[in-house]
Amino acid sequence: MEHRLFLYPGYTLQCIKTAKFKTFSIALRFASAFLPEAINNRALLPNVLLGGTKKYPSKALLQTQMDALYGLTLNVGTEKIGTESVIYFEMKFVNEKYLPNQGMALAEALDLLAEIIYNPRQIKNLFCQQIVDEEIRLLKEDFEAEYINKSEYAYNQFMKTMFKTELHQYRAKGIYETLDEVTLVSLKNSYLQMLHNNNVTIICVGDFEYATMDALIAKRFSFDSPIHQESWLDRETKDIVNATVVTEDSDVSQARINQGYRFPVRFGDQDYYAGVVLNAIFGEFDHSQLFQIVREENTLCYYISSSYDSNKGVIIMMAGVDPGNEEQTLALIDTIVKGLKTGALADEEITIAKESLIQRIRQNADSPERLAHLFFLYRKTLGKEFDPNQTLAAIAAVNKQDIITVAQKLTLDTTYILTKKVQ
Amino acid sequence: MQIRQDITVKESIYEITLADGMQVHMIPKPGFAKTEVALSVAYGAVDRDVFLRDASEVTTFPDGTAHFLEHMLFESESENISKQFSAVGANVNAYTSQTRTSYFFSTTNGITEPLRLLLNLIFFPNFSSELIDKERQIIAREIRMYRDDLDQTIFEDTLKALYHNHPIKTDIAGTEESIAKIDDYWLKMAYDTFYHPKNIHLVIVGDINPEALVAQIEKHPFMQLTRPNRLMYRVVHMEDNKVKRSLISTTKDLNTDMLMVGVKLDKTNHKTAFENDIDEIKLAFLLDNVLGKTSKTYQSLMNKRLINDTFEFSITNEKDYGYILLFTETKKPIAAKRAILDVLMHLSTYFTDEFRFLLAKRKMLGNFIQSFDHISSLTGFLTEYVMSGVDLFQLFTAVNNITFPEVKANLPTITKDSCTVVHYHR
Repeated sequence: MEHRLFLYPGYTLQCIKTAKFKTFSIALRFASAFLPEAINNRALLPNVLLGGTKKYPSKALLQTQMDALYGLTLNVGTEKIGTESVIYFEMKFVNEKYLPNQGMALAEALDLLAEIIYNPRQIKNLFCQQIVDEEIRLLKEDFEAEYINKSEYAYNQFMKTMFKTELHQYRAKGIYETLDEVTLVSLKNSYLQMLHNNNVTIICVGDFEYATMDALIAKRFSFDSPIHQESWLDRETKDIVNATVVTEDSDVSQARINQGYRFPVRFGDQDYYAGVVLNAIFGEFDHSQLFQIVREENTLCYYISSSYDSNKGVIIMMAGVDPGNEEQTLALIDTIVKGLKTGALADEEITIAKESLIQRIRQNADSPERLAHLFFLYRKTLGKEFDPNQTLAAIAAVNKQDIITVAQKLTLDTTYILTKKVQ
Repeated sequence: MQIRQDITVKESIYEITLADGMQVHMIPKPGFAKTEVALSVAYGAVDRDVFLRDASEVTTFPDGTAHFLEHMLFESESENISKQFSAVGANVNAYTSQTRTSYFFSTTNGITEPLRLLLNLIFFPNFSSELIDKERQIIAREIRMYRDDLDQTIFEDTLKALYHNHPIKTDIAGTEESIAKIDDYWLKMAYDTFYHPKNIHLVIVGDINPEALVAQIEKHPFMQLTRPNRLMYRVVHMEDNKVKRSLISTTKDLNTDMLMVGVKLDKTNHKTAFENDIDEIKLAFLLDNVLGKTSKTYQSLMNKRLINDTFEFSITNEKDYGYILLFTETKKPIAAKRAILDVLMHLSTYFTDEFRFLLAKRKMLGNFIQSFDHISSLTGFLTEYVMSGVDLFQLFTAVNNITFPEVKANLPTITKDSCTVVHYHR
């Protein structure tokens, strides 16, 4: 894949050139330390900016301009990656090559993005109260609705339990209880921070000339933030004497179980890829042991899987089981984990797990969003370019002993069960 | 093999009907890593009542048979299907909808081996009673799992309120009672009735060579099977636009009330699949104009805090059933319900903004072009149209030619009798 990196004072421009897509994808990312006191302001900020600009003073008028640009989509939000908070603006639109009246799609789209970033609608140098109030209402109602999705509710309760004293307890989405403390002044400060003190990365994917893209960006965007390499990895952990078990009563048809394992292997560590293969064997896919043994062989649940957060160093298991079957399921999972530690895994399982990972890595090249994200992540956390061939080679090199060795690092921390008492 | 090209998107669709009747559609996507193959059977949950060539009366399958059959084809006594595909670097899955059953895999390796596996899966099934009993438990659990999902149950409740007898009323998976009746007799009967190559469509999208692929498929043993086509016709359940119940109000464990408004479309006149698709798109333009995010009505509902970001609407328009669904979570359910019904019953007074209609068409053109960038969605998109016999490129040209007066002339008649409201509250 052809790509080029432009390092400027104030921002980094990463261009990935490919004629494969009929679209341009342009992402603007603002990164800074994930601080609990900044969560709500940063969560609301991108949506407040989408609430209106000088030229397009309302959400609807902005949306109208996006429609006029042949259904340009703008995906905004704030995410937590390890110890960093990233505000993103991801834009996608059709390459004018494919449009009937070939115009200036690229220039017009970038104009729109610059308008949103630099010219928010303001009154007396502050955002509009009405726009801010509306975004607070929408975010509150979004939080309140989480309760009806039992899997999501259970997961959130689990996270609060396992990471009670850690930064990881917080979500980039916001803190419901303190949303009303956000003021016009605090939001404006957060905005100025974003413009002047965040690490800024612009990533472009599509069929363009490097020089053209570089010039189009430089004409519209400039930032004065210092670029500094930071470690994004979250190394905060705790000593586990006894695993925690929490059960919550609820009128559910299916009990939800979440289990968290400490797994101190992080992105960039030597045994990181062994960890990735381990999780693939354990629970990531439907040919993994959790699904095969718990669902297929013992028909104890409808869904079960695990996910690996390599910025934090944890593996989390999620399952939905019939009320009454929780103990049996947990015992089975415990046996599976013990088995992995003592080498109870067939060569065929390793081959299949690696093959699935390889499939996914290769497919990254088919998605402009995935490509943009991976290039961003590798540059930010490892200070180098994403290279799929290196990743593929690293996965291929993992052997059975590596997996057994890395499995020793799994320590059960917390089990959370949302269930109905069986009479 | 026929090749059709579109100059706007610069894409080609290759199509061929094989000797046994199976239709194959392919879109080559050079440079893409992933190839996706979807084999779809024109058999869905609504195909409950059929007339067979060798029967004297209508045969009625237990609810959930199509979905049960899909689960069964994924079962094998000897080997685990999903592992078999994974071993050759492919990821396999399946789903059943109201109108079809699709089996698909994706891979970044060659498709020769997984395609052979997929065809084996479909054409050489195995229905042992032990496997059936095991699968019944898994399906029952799946049904119970969705019972906790209020987004799903409000949708099901709305369909139940809209229809009197149409099988669309029933959940795709059936009920715990109905699946108890499904045994090897029903599964074999369903298989023999619907899994005939004439009823099957294969869609392949990726960096492929269409000619070589067809040659490979024609060598597969399934091409040698000779099977009678038992299906004479499907019983069509046409209903007018009168709903069964106009209101369902239920207490649920929630914080914010949920509201779904369903509008039933009159299906007493027969239309072609192409006409139904065009009607559906006209309705989409209409609703986008009246209630889309840039409309005055949407902004007013937002400002009055009657709706929030969960507000959405969708249109379904098939041969013998069609409905509009509108959903929102709301803190002011009574006012929200009244406001939404008012808009629906006075569409002609709200549908006035021709400028925004033209923008909606632009947006649709952009979305259409973008859909060719994503292998899996393109596979799904193409499948949907080939199954109803609609030419994607032709449909798109027709959509581009839709005018504002045409949409205005096509306004559906919505009255109190054709609307239903499902309200979940604390």
